[in-house]
Amino acid sequence: MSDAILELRDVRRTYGNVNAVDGVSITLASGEFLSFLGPSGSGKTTTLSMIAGLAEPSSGEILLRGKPLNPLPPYRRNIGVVFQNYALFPHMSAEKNVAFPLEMRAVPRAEIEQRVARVLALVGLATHGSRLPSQLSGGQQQRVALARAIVFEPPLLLMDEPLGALDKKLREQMQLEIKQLHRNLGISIIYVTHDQEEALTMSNRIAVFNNGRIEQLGTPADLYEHPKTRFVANFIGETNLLPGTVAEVSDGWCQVDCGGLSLRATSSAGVSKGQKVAVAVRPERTLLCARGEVLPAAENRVTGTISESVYLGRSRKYVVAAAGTAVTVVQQIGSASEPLFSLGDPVEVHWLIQDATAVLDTAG
Amino acid sequence: MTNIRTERLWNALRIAVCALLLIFLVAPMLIVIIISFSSAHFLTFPPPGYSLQWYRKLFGDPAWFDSMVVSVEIIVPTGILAMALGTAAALGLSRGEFPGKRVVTGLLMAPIVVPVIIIAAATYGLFQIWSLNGTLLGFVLAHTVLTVPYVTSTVLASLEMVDEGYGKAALTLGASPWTVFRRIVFPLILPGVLSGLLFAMVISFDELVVSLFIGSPTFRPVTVQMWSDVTGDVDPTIAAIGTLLFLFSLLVLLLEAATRRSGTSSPLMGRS
Repeated sequence: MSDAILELRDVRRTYGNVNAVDGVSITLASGEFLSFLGPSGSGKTTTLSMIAGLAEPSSGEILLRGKPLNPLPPYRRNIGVVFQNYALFPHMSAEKNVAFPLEMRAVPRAEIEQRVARVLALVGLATHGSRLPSQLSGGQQQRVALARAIVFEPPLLLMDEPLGALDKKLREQMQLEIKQLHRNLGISIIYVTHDQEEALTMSNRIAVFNNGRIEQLGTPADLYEHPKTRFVANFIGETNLLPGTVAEVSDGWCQVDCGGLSLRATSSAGVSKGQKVAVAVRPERTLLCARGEVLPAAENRVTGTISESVYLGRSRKYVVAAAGTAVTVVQQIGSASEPLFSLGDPVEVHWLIQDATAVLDTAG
Repeated sequence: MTNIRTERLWNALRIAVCALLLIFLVAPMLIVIIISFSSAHFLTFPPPGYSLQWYRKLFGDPAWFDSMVVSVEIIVPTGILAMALGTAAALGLSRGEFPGKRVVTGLLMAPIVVPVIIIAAATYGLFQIWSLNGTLLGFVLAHTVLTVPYVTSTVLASLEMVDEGYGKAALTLGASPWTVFRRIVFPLILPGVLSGLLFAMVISFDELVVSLFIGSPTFRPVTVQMWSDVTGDVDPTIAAIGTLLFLFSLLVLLLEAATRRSGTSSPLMGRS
């Protein structure tokens, strides 16, 4: 790829005999917004540290614009980093913090002042330059940290759970601002988060980390619609996972035996007959109806009774108890806010084959 | 009602206890200060009248004056040397990971724990070989060993407050490790370093035991001069020099408090 800004080739990092990062390979396109999504301890922050140069890979190669980064110390990499706790220098004003990377690059004083003022205005802190970090709110500190990381115009910006310490409202606002900044500056961003919603809203692509590996790499829609593993299906959004054994495979779809139920689903690569899989179905892709309606042949059907009904405002969530399993169903609420079904009602849940995916039932 | 009354009672009691404690601690010092202005030729309290004769004697007598000069000559280089070594040691101990770190820490802190008389005897023996007894260099070296642990512990305490994240951030912003130290770490630990320097100087100034061993009749700091004075015939000169020593320590303590205060109120240390 000619426009690749960053490339990781089979990067590993071991601490003692623990593989914190266990063979990660990624190519980041120029201008791309890529999220590393995963639970804590999945290796996403360690991978980020290795790109920044704050941790050394045990093996593997990291290339920035085709040039190997491994031999460069962090202060020669020219990569912007925003840390989770901001790491603003407490003895320097916001301006001084932002000027710091420019001073390190021996930029003339007059130009420093200009660029600092411009970037502070960009993050909406034009009038707060002389304040010390302790005199700024969490959100403002976050903006200063962001300004400091982009003022020297690095080709790549790394963000390590930058919004983790902010409250929900502010976090959503900052998400939009960061997206806007990304669009306007055309900078490439790698964004570490454990919040799947954040990853879905912000990213061009998401790399889902689990146990030091990338479980799946794809666009948000890709991951949501076609998860490859049980872990991905479970980690991104709410999902029904019905475990079973593959009874039959034909091109693109398969038949899965789920304890008496026979379900059909699209199959991801690597699914073969006799394999243990889980059929993943999103609650909002299912349809609930009274028992006994005639269905088109292309649909899956599970019979059961309503065991739970929760009002969510825009929608209503039902849990349907079926033979040996439970299926969660989310239904949009129209104009009538009356529940359509009550507890104990005999119902049927059905969904289209293309809305169900048979995912590998990997442990973890 | 009873609640408020018992609370008041407790308050009064607390104030009374504090006041008594304060008097207990300060009274001896006050008596020394008063006696230093005595007109009598021996240590009596209350003094029959007041005069400045003992201060005149102190500054007029070359033995006293020289010993004060010697003390200053010792504490300045000792303080600076202890500050440099103690800071370096603290940095190494807090940031570095190396085998035998505990042993090094123990050795470094030993002068606080080992009985001074043992250090004094050992130093005397060693300096006998190196012919450093009764020399400025000898005093500076011996006092540096005694004061380094104090600097190390104050600097270690202020390093605790310096998040390692600052250094990492500075590295990613283009600062070399030396620049990180110069621009980020050092300004943040400066209050601790200065308070270590002041501590080192006060301890060196007050030191008697080692000084007794390695001093000579021609090169002796104030404490040794005081010692030989009180073992001979006692007159209020000793009270006058005691008062001066007290004022010096007080001054240093206030200075130390001032650096610490500016340290906490400015965001230097204020990472609540």
